[in-house]
Amino acid sequence: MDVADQTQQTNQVKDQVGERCQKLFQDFLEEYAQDGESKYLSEVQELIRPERNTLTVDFEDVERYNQQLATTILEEYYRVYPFICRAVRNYAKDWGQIPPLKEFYVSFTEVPTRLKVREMTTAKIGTLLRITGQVVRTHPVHPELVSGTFICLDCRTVMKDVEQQFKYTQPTICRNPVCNNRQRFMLDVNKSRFVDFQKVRIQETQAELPRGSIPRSVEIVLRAEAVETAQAGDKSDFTGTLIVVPDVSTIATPGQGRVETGAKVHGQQGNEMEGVRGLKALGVRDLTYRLAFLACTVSSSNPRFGGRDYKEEEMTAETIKKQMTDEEWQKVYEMSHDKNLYHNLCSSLFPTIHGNDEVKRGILLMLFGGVPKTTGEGTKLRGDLNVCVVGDPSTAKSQFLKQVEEFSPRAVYTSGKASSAAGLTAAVVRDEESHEFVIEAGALMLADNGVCCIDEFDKMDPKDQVAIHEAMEQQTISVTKAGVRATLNARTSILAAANPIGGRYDRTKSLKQNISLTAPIMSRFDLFFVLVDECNEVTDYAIARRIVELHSRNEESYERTYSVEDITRYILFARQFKPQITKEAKEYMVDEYKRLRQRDGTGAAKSAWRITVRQLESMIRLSESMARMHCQDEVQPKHVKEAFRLLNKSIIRVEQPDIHLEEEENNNEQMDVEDSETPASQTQPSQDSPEQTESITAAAKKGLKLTYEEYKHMANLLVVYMRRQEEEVEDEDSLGLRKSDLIGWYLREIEGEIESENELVERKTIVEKVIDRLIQHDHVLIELKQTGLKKSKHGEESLVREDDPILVVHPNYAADV
Amino acid sequence: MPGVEDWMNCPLTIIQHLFEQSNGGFSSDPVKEYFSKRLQSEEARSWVPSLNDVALHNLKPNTIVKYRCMIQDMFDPELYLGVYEISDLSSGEDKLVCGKYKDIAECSPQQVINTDSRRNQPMDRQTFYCVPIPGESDWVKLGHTKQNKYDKDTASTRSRLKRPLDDVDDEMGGEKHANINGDDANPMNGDSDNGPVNGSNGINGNQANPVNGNVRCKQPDLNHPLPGETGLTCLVKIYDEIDTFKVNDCVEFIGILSVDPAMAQFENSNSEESLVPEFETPEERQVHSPPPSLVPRLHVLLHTKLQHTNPLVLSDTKHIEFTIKLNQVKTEVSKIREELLSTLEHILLGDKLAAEFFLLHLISRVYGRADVMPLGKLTLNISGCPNSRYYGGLINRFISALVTKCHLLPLTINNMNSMKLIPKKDLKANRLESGILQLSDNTHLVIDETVLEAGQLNPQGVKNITALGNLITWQKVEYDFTFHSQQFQTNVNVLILSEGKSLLPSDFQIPLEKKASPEDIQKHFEELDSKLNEEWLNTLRTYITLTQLIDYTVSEDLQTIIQDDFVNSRKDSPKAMSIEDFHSLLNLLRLQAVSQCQTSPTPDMWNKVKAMEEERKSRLTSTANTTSATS
Repeated sequence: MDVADQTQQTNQVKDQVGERCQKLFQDFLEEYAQDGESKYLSEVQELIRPERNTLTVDFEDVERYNQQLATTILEEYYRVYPFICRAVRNYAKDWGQIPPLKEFYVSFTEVPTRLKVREMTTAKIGTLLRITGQVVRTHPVHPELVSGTFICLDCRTVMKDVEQQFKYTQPTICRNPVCNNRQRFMLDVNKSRFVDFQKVRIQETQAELPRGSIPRSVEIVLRAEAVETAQAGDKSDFTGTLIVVPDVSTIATPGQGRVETGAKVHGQQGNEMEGVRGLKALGVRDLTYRLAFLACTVSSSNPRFGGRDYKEEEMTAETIKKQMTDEEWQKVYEMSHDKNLYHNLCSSLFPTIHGNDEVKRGILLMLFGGVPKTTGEGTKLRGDLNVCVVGDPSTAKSQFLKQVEEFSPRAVYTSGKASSAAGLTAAVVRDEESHEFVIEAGALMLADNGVCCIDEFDKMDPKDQVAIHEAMEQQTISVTKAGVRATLNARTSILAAANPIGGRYDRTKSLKQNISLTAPIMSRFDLFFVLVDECNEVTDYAIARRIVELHSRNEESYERTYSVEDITRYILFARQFKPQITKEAKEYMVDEYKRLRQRDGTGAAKSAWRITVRQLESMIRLSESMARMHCQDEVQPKHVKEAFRLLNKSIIRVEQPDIHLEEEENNNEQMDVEDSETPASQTQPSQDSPEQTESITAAAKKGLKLTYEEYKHMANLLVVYMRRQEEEVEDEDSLGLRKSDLIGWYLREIEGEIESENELVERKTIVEKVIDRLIQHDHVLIELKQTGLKKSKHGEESLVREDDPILVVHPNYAADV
Repeated sequence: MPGVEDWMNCPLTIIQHLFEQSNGGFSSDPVKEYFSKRLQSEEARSWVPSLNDVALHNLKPNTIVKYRCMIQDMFDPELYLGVYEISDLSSGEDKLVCGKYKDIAECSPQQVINTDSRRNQPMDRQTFYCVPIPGESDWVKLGHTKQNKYDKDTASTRSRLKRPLDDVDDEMGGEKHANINGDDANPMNGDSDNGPVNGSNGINGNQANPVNGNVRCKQPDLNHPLPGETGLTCLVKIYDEIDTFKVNDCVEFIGILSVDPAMAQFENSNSEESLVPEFETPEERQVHSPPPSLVPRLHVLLHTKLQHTNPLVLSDTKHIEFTIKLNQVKTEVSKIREELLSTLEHILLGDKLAAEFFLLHLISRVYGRADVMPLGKLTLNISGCPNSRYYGGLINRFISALVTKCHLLPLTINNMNSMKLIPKKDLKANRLESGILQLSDNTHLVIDETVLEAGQLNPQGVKNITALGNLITWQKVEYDFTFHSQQFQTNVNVLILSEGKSLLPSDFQIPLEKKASPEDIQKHFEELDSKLNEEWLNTLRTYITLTQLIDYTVSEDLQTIIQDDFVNSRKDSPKAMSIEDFHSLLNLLRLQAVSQCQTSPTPDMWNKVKAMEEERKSRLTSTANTTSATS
């Protein structure tokens, strides 16, 4: 079709729909007011500045103003877009001087129609819609010829406003009726209009990708102010329309409906070559075209658990609700009213993992997460929960991690053994092609706003463990290398799995001795779980039944109360709640914390260090997460109760010896002692049942059971007494305290608590054992057997007790007084 | 067959005819109906020429062909004119033409294609990049070729196509030579088809070269997953049920061949073009529109997803002949099994237990997934392999004679550091660069760790080892999409041959107890040649394929027995049988039953697999003891 004709046609045939839209839109700009003020006036006035040309319009405003206009724009976007832009131009002209050649553009936000990349079909061409994708490639910004002014080289006729669309289009014939020139034209660059143009490729996001398919990609065309707003790696929302390229001069032919946009062919380009290509002239035509997306707005989206959110604070439960279909919303609603929600979610999340309910609960709460906060000084407190699972090889550890990775779209699974520090955090690498330094994202960065599952956490190089310190507490990663310095966000929950030292978890030893993790790292986990292969006939039967069933049929035989999609949606929804802690919950929390500290303490104020603020923070996070799970706006005592229970089950509480060390530097000595003391927890019945710690349980097979706290308490009492005694008798030539004296003193001390003779005997045995232990295992006390001649007569081989040796405190021992 | 000629040679005429009959309201149903009716019988299908074994220049364009392949990559959907208008210049009449199933709209010199007509209908279709099934054994290829009745020599050719095709053939041939030469130089390689590390000099080598300015002359990389493969690749255009296809699916497509040279893309030398940014980079153009003489287009009319590619077994498992064959195998199963075991025993140097495990390994496959855990796989690690550099190759050759798809991966430091195992998305060219681990279901992967020597792994090597580990444990491969990785499920049978315990994980490690230690291992294998005649091999091949397709259930009674067993053995100590062990036993039980062509196991089998496991474990501890004693 002749372009010159087209322009004439444009002048003759008016696109009535377009014209009407233009008028209505201009009215909208003039009239739409918010809080009594014209909403868009100031913004349009801004546009007069030379570097601005795009007006951002909230589509909801248009809908509120005129539903019909909104519908027309939605359905006939590509057709009416130039008219809308013209409306902006006219409106701007009313308010200020604008250069005659300046073009204006409109960018719509909050467009309701949202499509998946996969859902874009030819039927959607020309309509206004919104898609989400990950930017995978950006091209440099070019000037694009929007409308060209051509000069005929034969007769010097000037042809203005030859519309260009994606292809360089010359007028096919000179407008001068007597001139027959069809080929020789010159573009007058100074009189032609250009716009910034950038091509970007996006790829289907992982959340939208059907299993087993290759992600699809779409080319996005960005213009004017939208260029350079998308960066490779970003997940962004694009608002605009699907177009067909190459696509010649359709804008200039209004009134032809949108099929036209798909029906143009790149003929007459003046680039026919000789040979095979010449076939095209013989009525052979390629039938395929490319689809591209012409975007007017780019907004970065931040998907978590499959959906997206704006900036954290802007996202509310309402907006999430809006994105759901009625059916989906109904399901979420049902779920939030499920009395058995906690249990059902756990069993649906891990249908093939047997037992280990506490671990499942912990991981579930991790997915919900606590509320991030900022203190008055601007310090950020993380809301994400970190969980560590310790267990023998071939327990379901890896399966937990894999399951979470599978379940949450924004999760990364990595193995500590296989990843270097760079692989986990970030690295500066030199780009092979450009030789520039670029930052390469590591697993933690990739899991930003998600979960980072790290298997074989203990196998990680200690240096790398240090590198993730920062990520775990500050939730950022700093890279300083080769002149590049950057702090990157890593707001991620960490789910780690670690193998015990020596391959088997030794229940007689403490957690600390079972895994090779440094204390600072350990303290950053909110929950620690030990997976033990427990033996129990009833559960064994249940497990056996399920496994046999699994293997007996060809189809998957396990049942889920909720589907994975349901849960993902539910978590996304529930995460939007920012529960506040109620007064009762606060009191309850304080009480529990106090109780923890007291029980933990050895009587003296200073020794209450094992339960620290860190645990309190964990408790708050867990409580918030519980409240979120039930979609409640406040944290109630029952939530705290469960959080507290879980924290108790998690053995971090029992073994938290080195926090002190981290906070005070000159305590190395103490740490040594603590380390050497920890085996004492051998006497403790079971590390994940602190309820029993309340009472001293009587002798079992091997000896007496004593909680670590009790043991510690007694040891301190004895040591303090001995020190005092030593100080008193220093000047005298006394040898020191005899064991029997010490026992006697102790029993006198606790006289008040003893009620029966039996108990007295019992206590006596206990204190004897404790002293033995202090001597033999912990080397806190030193036994002097051969202090005098009198003693040596009895012979070395006789029992220690008979010797009644003299005891002194190890000079290096620092008691917690 | 004159009746056949008609629709086989001019399908587009028929489609146009059907289109005119349907009067505008055009769907693909009548077309599909028409062709599926004609291609219903195996007989009819066997007359259709196959792209797999007929050279491209012997095929007529726009005729019906079939193609057995694996989907390697899925391109973005494209838009085409499903219906377009042609105006006759002489008569002035307009006519609607169906644009489906073709790339190029053609019309006679007196006609003009009216691209601006309102009656034109744009439609979507999708393009898959397909490669011949990677690792397909020679006997499978031969078997399929034999079944085809199409006479390749009589087919006429279009003269204008001939020249460029011959060129291509020469080039391909040249490449083959290069490979063979490379193999000769490399004595480690027992089998020229599965040569190790051709990656550096094979097809993939092309990628290493940076794109020179002259794109036009560069032969495109055909993206075969396995190095050294040369089969014809194809751009397959799909019109219906696009979403049912998954990457790495094995499919037989029947469709219309399109090789019109007009589709070849040329570099745009037009300088004015640069004023308006281009939509395709040269890299993209090269990948998405390779010369049709090299990569033909296939417009799909019908498709069959292949559960297996064994030419000896019908692909339709519901067919009556399939059942007949199955019953036939069932009657002879004990004999077949015994003979196969004795053969395996021979190649495993007289180890009976290992032979039993090997047999179960051969017929294993992932039949389901419990969430993330794949069920049914049996990764075997045969440790204590003879220290011969030929052993891996010989074992591989033996397996490939039995199974349909097989590949040998020598695990050397150099290989790990240089090979591309993981497919990676090339964002510049917008396609998925294949890697060795992009394998279709039921491919056997033989990893030869006996050739491994101490050395330094580079980051690529670490990634490769991790990928292999993940493949074995989870049956998943993470494809690299630069900004994220995407998991794809696999179903690959892995056999690891090693001297000590393999560095890769495995389900069952079995130290080889050699009864014989032949000096010349090649001779030892050759002893089998007389026994393994074609007929016997075919029986074994049928047996292996069929057993993989048998349904399986466990009776209630046996379930109770098994459960009790589990609980009882845990009573004394939980270590005696972990949940993991239990899974393994049940898996073995299933394979044991299936290997005897039984749909459900018997208590005897349960006892047998328990005994097998016990024996294997005792071997493991005894070897551990001996090694610790010596050290």
